[in-house]
Formats: sequence, C-alpha cells, structure tokens
Amino acid sequence: MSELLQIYRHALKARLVDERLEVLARGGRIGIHPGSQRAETVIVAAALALGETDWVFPTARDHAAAFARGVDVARYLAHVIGGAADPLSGHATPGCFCSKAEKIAPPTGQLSQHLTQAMGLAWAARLRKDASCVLALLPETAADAGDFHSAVNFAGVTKAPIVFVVRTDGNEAPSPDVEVADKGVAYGVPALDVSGDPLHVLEAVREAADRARRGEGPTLIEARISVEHDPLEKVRQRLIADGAFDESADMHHRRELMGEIEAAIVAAFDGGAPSLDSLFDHVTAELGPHLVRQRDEMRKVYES
Amino acid sequence: MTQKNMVQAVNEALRLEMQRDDRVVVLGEDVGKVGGVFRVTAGLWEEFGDDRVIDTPLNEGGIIGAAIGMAAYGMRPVPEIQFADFIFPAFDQIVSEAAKFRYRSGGEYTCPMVIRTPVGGGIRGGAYHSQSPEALFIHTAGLKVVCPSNPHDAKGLLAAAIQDDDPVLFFEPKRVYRAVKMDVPDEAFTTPLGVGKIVREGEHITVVAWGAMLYEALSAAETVAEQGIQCEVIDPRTLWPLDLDIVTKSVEKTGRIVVVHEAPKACGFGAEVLQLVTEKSFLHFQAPPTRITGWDTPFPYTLENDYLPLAHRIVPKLLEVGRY
Repeated sequence: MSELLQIYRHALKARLVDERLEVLARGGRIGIHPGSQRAETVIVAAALALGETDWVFPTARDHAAAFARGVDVARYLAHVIGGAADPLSGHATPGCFCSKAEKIAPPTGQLSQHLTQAMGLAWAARLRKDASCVLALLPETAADAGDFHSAVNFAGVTKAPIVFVVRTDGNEAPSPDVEVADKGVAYGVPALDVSGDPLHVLEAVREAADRARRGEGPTLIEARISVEHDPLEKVRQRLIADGAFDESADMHHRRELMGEIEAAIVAAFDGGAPSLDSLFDHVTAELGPHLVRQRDEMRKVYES
Repeated sequence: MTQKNMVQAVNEALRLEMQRDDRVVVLGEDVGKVGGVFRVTAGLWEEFGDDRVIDTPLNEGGIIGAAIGMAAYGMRPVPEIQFADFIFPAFDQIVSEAAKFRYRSGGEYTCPMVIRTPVGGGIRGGAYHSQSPEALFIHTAGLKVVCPSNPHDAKGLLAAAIQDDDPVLFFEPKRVYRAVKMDVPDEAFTTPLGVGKIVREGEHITVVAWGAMLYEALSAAETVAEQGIQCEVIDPRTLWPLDLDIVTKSVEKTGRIVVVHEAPKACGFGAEVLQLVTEKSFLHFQAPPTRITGWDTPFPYTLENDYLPLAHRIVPKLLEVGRY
C-alpha cells in the first residue's frame, strides 16, 4: 500500500469516528468528543513517520495518531464510551486515550502540558542511551500556552530527541504575527515550515526523527493546513487521480469502516458500565486507608 | 551511626538511593554544581555526574513536566523546587498531570517521583520563602504528602518515598534543616509512609504537629506539664494518607485534641484532621477540637514570629483546652 493510501485510510477512519461521535455527543449518549478539526492527514502522516520504539504524545484531538500506531477502532471507542471494556477504566475524558503497548502517552486537557512531559521522556531516553525519539503533536493554539515555551526551551538546552509538530490553520486566535516555527529558532531549536501536504509532513518528521535518534537534538515542524479546502478530500482526489481506487471502491471502503465503527459502539454500550469499585481503582498503586473507608461507604449506599 | 542534621540526612538518603537504583535522578535549579540552594544535593553531581544530577532552566512547570515524562519512561526522578513558595508555577503539572497520571490512564502509566521542597517560615524569608502549602496537595487525589520533623525520619521517609510507585510531595522544614542534630544510621533504611509516631506520651490532651511546629508543640507541652497538664504529642510524619488510627486512639484516651500548623487556618490540614477525628471519636470529646495555626493573612516579613503558632501561642490554648 502506498504511503498516501495508508495516510488516507487512517485519516478517513478518524474522520468517520469523529462524525459518529459528534452525533452521539449531541444526543447525550457520550459526554464529549474533541474532533480532529480536519487535521487528520497531518496527524497520521507525523505518526506514520515513527518507528515502533518511538513514542507519541498526542493531544485529545489526535486519535488519528492512535489508529496510525495500530490501535483498532473498537479499543478506541470502548475508551470513549467508557464502559466495562474501556481499557482506561472509564477514568479518562473522551479523546484522552493512551496505551503503553503502542507507546502512546496520556493526552492532557490542559492544552500544552503534555509537551514538557514529552520533552522529559525524550530526555530520559537519551540519558538511558536508548535510541528512540518522541513525537509531540499540538495545534497552533497550544503554541501560545506556557508549557510549549517551557518544553521547547528545555529541548533546546538538553538536545532531547524530540520532534514537535505544530499544525497551523490560520485560525483567528489572537497571536503575534510571527510564524510558529520562529518560536523554535528563538530557543535554539531547528525549525522548519512545511506545507500541509501529508507526504511533506511524513518526510520532514522522518528526517527530524532520524536526526533526533542520531543525537542531533530536537526539531520544531510547522505544518500548514488549509481548512477551507478539506485536506482529507484533497488526498482522496489525488488517490483517485493516481488510480489507487475509484469512487465506488472508496464508497465500499467507507461503508465497511462505518459498519466496523457501529459494531464497536454497539458492543461498547452492550458491555454496560464499569464495576462500581473501579471508581477507586488506580488512584495510587495501593488504596490508602481513607480510600478503603470511602469505597466501603459507597458500597453500603448501594447495598441498602 | 553518626550525628547528622536534616540536610546531611536527606543528602545521604539521596546518595544511597542513587547508588541502589540507577533510575533515580535528581533535577532542579542549581542542584548540580552548586549543590542546591540549601546545599542538600552537595556532592551528588561530583559522584553521579551530569546525567543523574541535572541542572535545569529556572522554570518549575518545566521541571515537573519533564520529571513526569521521565517517570513515564521508567525513571525515578527526584525534582527539587527551591522553596515550596515556588511550586505554584508547577501546580498545574502536579495536580492536573502527575496526580492523575495513573488514574486517567487506567493504570497504564505511573508517575513515581518525589518532589522535594523546603517549607515553612522562621528564616526571615518573607512571603516567597516561607509558606506551607501542604493542604493544597492533600486536597488533590493521587498525591502523597510527607513532612519529616527530624533527620532520622527525613532519611528513612525520603528513601521510602523514592521507592514508592506514586508521586510524593516531600516537604522539608527549612527551619529544622541545621537546627536539629541526632544519631542517624549510616546505612540505608526506610521509614514506612503513612505511619505516625507518638513523640511524647500524656493522658490529658492529644497534640498533633509536624515539621518545625513539632518542636513548638513539645516546648509548650513541657510548659503546661508544670501545671499538671500532660500532652500526648503526635507527629504524623506522613500527612497524607494520614495515620488516623494513631490519632483517634490517643483522642479516645485524652478526650481532647489540638492541631498546630504554620499554614493559614481556613481549610488548613488541621480542619481535616479534626473533622476526621470528630467523625470517629465524637463521643469521647471533653473539649472542643482546637486549631492553632498561622493567621489567615499572607505570610508577613517583619512579624513572622507573631504569625507563626509558636509556643507562646500554644501554651494558653493548651491551658484553655486542658481546663475546659
């Protein structure tokens, strides 16, 4: 399968998941779901540039990266629905999916706070002489928040093996009239500005990751996407023009994905809620005495 | 066994833990070549080098964020925040990230780290070098909070905290750093988290105090003993999770409880201790549960000895509660 086709497949999956979850959220069946904001192709391209031993620190909008890392739709949807089959025990806000097996770190609800964590993990890998690198994903708005600056500054100091990929879409959030990439330069971090063409992103991240693994330090990549022209649709048109598939094959593929998504949603809801006790799981390695008392108190409420 | 102060005891615990486990790293502002603002990490950089004793930029949020990432990777970071007052730029990383890392990942990711920071007043440090923010962290699920009062406990508790699989706030009472010297074993040992200690036995009033205020409570206890009131003084050592049993057992004997702490009164940890004891031992009370705390003002520079709940403020309260 060509790289562009792989990108399309994962990105389409993320888009269809978004569309379905948006309906479920509006209908009150799930709490919320932060969508990909038409950045799926860039997110997937960046994630596909990684090797198996590399790590990704996504935001809560980056489930497309999880799909690219090999997470199947059913596991992701089990998390969003938060039922008995949720690998995160119904504890995480929808979108904040993580998995150690695929080296996907827990996203944060606090905009840029995953970035210093990503830098710390990359730094640890270097200190432990492990030649893996870290990909940190962020939207343009996160580049205005404090931890972005902390992370890029620390990365500039430590030469940690990390690649920051900022997707910019010309949103109207108030921001100084400078390129995000320039903020990397300010902290001594090599920065480049690429088009939102997913193949450009893939190539840029691949090169930056190679540099990082060779011990040459961090890179900040600004990937410009244009939301007026749906990037996913552009990739689809390109693949059709290239003869990768025709409209009918694409429709068939979509239908298959939608069936897979629907089946996963039904299964996740059918599994029911997680056990009541799971509310107290994983607060700390061992339940403290106060938590044992409170769990017993909760059990009593439901016994009577 | 040699005589050590708390600075030496903490330094020794760090050194021994770093020798025992090569995943343990120390990071923070000037912790390396300088050896820390209070010299607590002195000599570690010379012994363990740049990769394990790491000078960072002056950015507390960055330090704790980085430590979370290191912990997620499988290391055991021990970040130092120069003063507990400087922890607030890292507050979001501690309460929104470190504290919840295990919980919101369904146990997939953990955050074993110990945030060491000097706490408390009495060194003419003013508002930015004197505060006691323990209650803010006790209020946050997922964190353990430790505050040793002496060199022996500091060494054992720090080793236990580093070996713990969850984030621990380790508050070191800076007024005690060099003021107290005692016998501390030279070899490695741990003092279990979550276990308090009766420092002075007595049958009339239970007094709970920690850190530097323990000494004020003990001094006040000696004063009121001359008037026939015997205090049982308890050092919880680990503030959270609290060793509630040791406190309630004592209160069920004495019928009276006083909590002393430096932090302001409103929503201070004393309120929680008293309420927990009230829920369990209400029928044993012979006097109103009482707090002696810092005032609900910002920490002052000039009149800090009038802000702190020192012995001269504790004595009259103990007499009042004892004679109630």
